[in-house]
Amino acid sequence: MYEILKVESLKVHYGAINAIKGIDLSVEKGKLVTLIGANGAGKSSTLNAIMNIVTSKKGKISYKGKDITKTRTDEIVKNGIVLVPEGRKIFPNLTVQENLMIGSFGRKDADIKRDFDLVLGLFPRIKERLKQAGGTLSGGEQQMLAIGRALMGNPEILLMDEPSLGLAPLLVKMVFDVINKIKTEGKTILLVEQNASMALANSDYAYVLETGKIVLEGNGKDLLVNAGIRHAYLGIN
Amino acid sequence: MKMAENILDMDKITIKFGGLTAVDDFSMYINKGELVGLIGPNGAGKTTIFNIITGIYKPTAGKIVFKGIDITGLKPQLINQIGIARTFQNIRLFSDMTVLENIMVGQHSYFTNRKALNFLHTHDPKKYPKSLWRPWLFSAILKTPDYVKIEKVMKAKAFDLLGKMELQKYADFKASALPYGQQRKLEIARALATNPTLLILDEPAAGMNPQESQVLLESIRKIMKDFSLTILLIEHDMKFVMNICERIYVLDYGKLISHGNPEAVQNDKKVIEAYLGDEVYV
Ligand SMILES: Nc1ncnc2c1ncn2[C@@H]1O[C@H](COP(=O)(O)OP(=O)(O)OP(=O)(O)O)[C@@H](O)[C@H]1O
Ligand SMILES: Nc1ncnc2c1ncn2[C@@H]1O[C@H](COP(=O)(O)OP(=O)(O)OP(=O)(O)O)[C@@H](O)[C@H]1O
Ligand SMILES: [Mg+2]
Ligand SMILES: [Mg+2]
Repeated sequence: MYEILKVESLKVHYGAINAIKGIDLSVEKGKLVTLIGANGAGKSSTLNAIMNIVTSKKGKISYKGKDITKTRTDEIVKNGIVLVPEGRKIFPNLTVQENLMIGSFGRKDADIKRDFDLVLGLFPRIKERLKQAGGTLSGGEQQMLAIGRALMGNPEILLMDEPSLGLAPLLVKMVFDVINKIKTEGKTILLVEQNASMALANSDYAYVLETGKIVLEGNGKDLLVNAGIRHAYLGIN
Repeated sequence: MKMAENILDMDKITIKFGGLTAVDDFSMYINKGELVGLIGPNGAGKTTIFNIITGIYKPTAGKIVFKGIDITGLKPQLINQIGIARTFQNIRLFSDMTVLENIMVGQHSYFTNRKALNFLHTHDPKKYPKSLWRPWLFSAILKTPDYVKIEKVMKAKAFDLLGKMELQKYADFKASALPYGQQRKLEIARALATNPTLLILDEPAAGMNPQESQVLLESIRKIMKDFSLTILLIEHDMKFVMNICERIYVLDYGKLISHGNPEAVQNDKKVIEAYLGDEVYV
């Protein structure tokens, strides 16, 4: 057991709004950890704080034992933490291929080509459209591209903010297969998902956020059968 | 029994992007007061159909008739003014404006309704006499030629819309400060501000958990009744679609592969194979 990512007493504020009110997270290497919570609970704020995209924060974030609370985002990426952002954030005027290449920016290893082929193998649609402008892809195609771009960074920890957003039912399943596959390669995933039942069923550990606080945590499968969770997040009475 | 009144008719629509036929000989009708769904795999052509209905794309072939008027190739603003409003799959709000201001921008489009009225009047003066169409804001202007008052009325109406979507508490927030799920609801409120008869929603439940999409489903039903709307929606949340839609069209590679009520569509082998997989949706 090795704690690869640790968040301690994290607070995030936007002006007068306290979005995160002091939370602790612990992510073990090679595990899939999920964060669930209602709209506005602070899930994206947490991921963005880890990436230091959100800088108005207090507390401590460490990666492999090193303090990265104030590390620049591009350095964090270089060190192996990559985010699939909420709402895709594709570069609309760049081609699909260029968008993918941006994901490998700063990498110097010899495996870029391997990862490129891996991404095209996962998403044949992306392979067909390498020359198309990113902005003209359909919503789901853009989501595939955003996931592919993150994989091009060959991350040790993949942070995913609602990766199933806008994907057809069959593809949602496929994305969870991809997540499980990268897990078997020893990678770590911190996942935010609205598709809570799918996420919990697949995760090793999960946290439930409510208005900036963690109100519950435990094994994914335990939370899946928790009555309160079933009612509040799975829409099951 | 009253005959169903057809409000939208798409006839043999085709659109090509270079070598790709994104929509292929697609026909669809929607009756007044109906709630119709459009589903299918990623890249099937659903959003493209919305872009054609709203005038963003001109089809390569085919014709679209709305309330008896041929709207094929009309400008988006005009189409909006004659009664079709939409939300976008990739949220398009004015991120630096407040929530309230975003709605008031929508109202502004409604403000310039005169243009639409003239268009319809020229099209069919008998059916659209100038006296007939006097939306609330128009009359508000006529009654109170005082801008402060007009703004007050606009604000009140905007607040009312926020209330309908349960967004009041966010009124003064910048749109970009809203959590994703709330931004989706704001898009609906803004579309409503243009006073549509046909509302088309591109993935309204995306980014919502099942509990939240259930709440959204209720508010859509409510606005539909309150504003006498006809609704066409795209959604990948199958529980949502199967619960709310009366009729569903299924698209794959730009072609219609199935059409019918939720039960029929759900049990259609072609739909299961191309889109649904073996999951069961209530
Ligand atoms: N840029 C911002 N400025 C001001 N407030 C913000 C900003 N971004 C987020 N917030 C606020 O912080 C809180 C948490 O938002 P966050 O986006 O982290 O929620 P979330 O859990 O990701 O929600 P969703 O499920 O809708 O994506 C919300 O109250 C939101 O209004
Ligand atoms: N301007 C364009 N140029 C080239 N191809 C385009 C353009 N617009 C759309 N396409 C392609 O047409 C196809 C249909 O796109 P559309 O956005 O309609 O799909 P969709 O059914 O809405 O999918 P999703 O569920 O993923 O949103 C896609 O493969 C897309 O890449
Ligand atoms: Mg979020
Ligand atoms: Mg689409």
